[in-house]
Amino acid sequence: MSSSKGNTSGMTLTETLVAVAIASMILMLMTSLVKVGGTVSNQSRAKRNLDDAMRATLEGVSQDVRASIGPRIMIAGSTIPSSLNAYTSTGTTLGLIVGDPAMALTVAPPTGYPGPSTARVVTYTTNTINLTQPNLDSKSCSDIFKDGDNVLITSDTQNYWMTAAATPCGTASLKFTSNANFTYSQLAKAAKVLPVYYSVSTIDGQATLTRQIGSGSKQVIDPDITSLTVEYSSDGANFSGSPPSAPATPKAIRITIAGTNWNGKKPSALTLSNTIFMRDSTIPQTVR
Amino acid sequence: MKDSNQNTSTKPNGMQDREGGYITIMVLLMMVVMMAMLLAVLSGSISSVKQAGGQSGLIQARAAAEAGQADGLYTLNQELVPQLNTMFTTYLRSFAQSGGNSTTTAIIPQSSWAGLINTLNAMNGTTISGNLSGSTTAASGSYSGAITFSNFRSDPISFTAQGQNYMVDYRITSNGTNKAYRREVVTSGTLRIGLGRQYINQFLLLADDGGSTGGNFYATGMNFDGPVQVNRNWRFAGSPRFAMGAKTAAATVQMYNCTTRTYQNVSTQTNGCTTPNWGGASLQYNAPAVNLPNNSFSQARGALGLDANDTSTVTNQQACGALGLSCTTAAPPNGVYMPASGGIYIQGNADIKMSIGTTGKQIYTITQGSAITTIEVTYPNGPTVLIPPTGSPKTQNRVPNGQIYVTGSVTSLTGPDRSGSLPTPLPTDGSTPSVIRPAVSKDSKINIAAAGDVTIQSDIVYEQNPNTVPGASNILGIISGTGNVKVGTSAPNDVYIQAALLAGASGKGFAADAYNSGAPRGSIHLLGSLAESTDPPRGVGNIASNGTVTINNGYGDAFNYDQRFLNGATAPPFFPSTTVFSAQTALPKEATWGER
Repeated sequence: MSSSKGNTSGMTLTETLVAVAIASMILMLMTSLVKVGGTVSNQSRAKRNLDDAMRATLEGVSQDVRASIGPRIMIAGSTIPSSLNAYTSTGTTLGLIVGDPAMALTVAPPTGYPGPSTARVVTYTTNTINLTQPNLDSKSCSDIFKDGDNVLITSDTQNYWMTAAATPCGTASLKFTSNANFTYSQLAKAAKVLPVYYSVSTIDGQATLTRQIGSGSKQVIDPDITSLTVEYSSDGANFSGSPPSAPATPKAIRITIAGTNWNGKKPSALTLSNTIFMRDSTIPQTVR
Repeated sequence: MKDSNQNTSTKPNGMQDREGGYITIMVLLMMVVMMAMLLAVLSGSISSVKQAGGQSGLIQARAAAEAGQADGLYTLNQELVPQLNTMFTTYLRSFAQSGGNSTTTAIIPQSSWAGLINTLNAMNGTTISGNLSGSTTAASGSYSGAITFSNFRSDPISFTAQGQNYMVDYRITSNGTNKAYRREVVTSGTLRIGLGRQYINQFLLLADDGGSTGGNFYATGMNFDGPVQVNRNWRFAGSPRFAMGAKTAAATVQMYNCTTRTYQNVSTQTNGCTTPNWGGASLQYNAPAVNLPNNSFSQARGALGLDANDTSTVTNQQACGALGLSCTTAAPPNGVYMPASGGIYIQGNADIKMSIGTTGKQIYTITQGSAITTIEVTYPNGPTVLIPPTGSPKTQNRVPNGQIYVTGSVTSLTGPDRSGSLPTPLPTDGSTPSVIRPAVSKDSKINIAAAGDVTIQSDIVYEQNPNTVPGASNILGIISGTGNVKVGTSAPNDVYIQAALLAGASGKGFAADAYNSGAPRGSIHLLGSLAESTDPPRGVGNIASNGTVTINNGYGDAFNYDQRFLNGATAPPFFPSTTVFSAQTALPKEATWGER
């Protein structure tokens, strides 16, 4: 007599419940793993982005420092125009005098230069100076200077601030809003300069690093950068948070920026620093 | 009852298949999750590496660009001056020949300035390129760029009897590359070119007449490690060495031919067995002639405290007035004088012995017949005490101006005696043998000038040898206005002299007494410079068939250049300069810096 086999597939209720419970636990475990992995990935990306942004910012600030000319930084109590007094350098702000090789012209001698040895004509005292143009970038006065531009005249070791007048350019000449008063030398240059000011300002209720050109509007560098520290050195070795007294120029500037990037409830913080050594603008005669 | 073919599992086969499927799916899901997490970590690491690599690449590219800037500045400051002198040769020679007044007239005429810009922009060194780390490939970063000039002009305010300044604007463009990264740095500024008179002591050897007509020749064993110029009558045999090349104002020189055993006129660098070593440079023919002063009136005025720029004869009245004497038309009495604002003035002939006292005092013992005068100079600000042959000492609270002038001849110029025998072999590193005691104090800057001959009868060396003591400032000049500077017969063999020598009167030079008799006396070890009208023989030698030279009588020459004299950086006080100007400095002043 043969036994008839009935359909034995299927699970009992208990087996099903147990299987579902185990599967649920495993899925929950995997979900939490994915979640943790995702969180770590996001944090890592946020930190990389912050690192990226801060390095780019530091390089940009350093580039402006390297391009600075004349006294290099704006210091309270120096001969900067009064309109720039709000943009001086401190331990938490950096005011730079930034130039460009294409934006400078050689100053030609004043009329009557040099004059007889008993009555030298070596000083500019009027509101107009003579220029040699174009420069090696083929730029002339009208290409460079506009009404109200800040003009820095460097003559040997002296620096003089002037402001370009309305329609400032004549025939190989540059006109200012006031009389110039400086001793001419054959090394004299007239350069259009940009007063660049770095500071931490509150934008939309949040402290953030900004860059400002003259009295223009503040540009947010990166919303994650929340702190700027500037240190100055007169000898290249010892630094302090106070710039040297005018007319001294720092030998080196150290810039430190700090930033925070929030990813959910966990912040990623980073601090970066860079030291820029100011180059000598004059090569001394070789001592043998 | 059990079917033997049934398996012993209690589960049906379908259930087993489902269980296998569940497990497979779970494992696959877990693998997917693990892979995802691994990828997340890897992508973060890869991004970090790329970010760091990018940062590093940009920094290296900028470093390469800045290296190009440094290369350009080095060219402007260090390598330009010789090329400027080549460019300016025509103007420098014309100005010297015209006897122009450098106080009022531009040495480089304005009509030439535009053309000079084109020449500057075409010269060697205006194209810059290189690799970082000295490698021959660009793997570590490389740079390329150019220096461009414009607006050449003079600086009239700078015009003096001693020189003039000229300015030219420059721009250095440097492109740095590191793999895919590029940075460009552009700087601009003004280059100040200084033209100055060539001080006579800028040459290791400067002679108007090389003495070939009298049989003098330059031979193997002679080593000249500084600038050399002999205007005419120059003769060579064997392989003398000129480490900085040489110049002659003549179109030809004479070189020994071993085949014909005669001297031949040539305009080449060598001639058969005569193969002078020009030190990688060359013998330049037809150079501007350098003229020498033929008197020492300027030095006399310097010693009297008068204007040394006046090169006219000093009258008795002027001398008496400067010395505070009552004489007017008659010469001052023989003796040693120290004017209130000058140096040391010696009327008559004198023996001068130099030594160093305690605390570094410079001591002069001046003998005129039976009269002995001693002068002790205390540095840095005095006092200076003159102890006369008779009478009480006289003290001045100052240091004399360094000029010692003798109206007659210095019949014997000596230093301290040697403390022993010279070592064998002699030093080859430029140092002074220790047995030779110094005569010139480390703080002394002295110029000894005589109207007549100056005869050196012993070693005269510095307390601080500039070859071995960096920053040594002691310096000595020895000038004969109308006679010879010579090594006397009492001088030792292998005599050591450290000074700038000048004997510029026609036919005069640096000689050696009894140069053609007696046993060979070794070499004259001169550290300094020599300028003379005629280069007399200081020894007699034989030339072998292969060109080898052997000294038979007198001295050989072992002249070494005092590197401090290069380009006029250092000169003894009141040492004269030539009528020829030359470019001596090129100093860049940077105005702007830009990066892209």
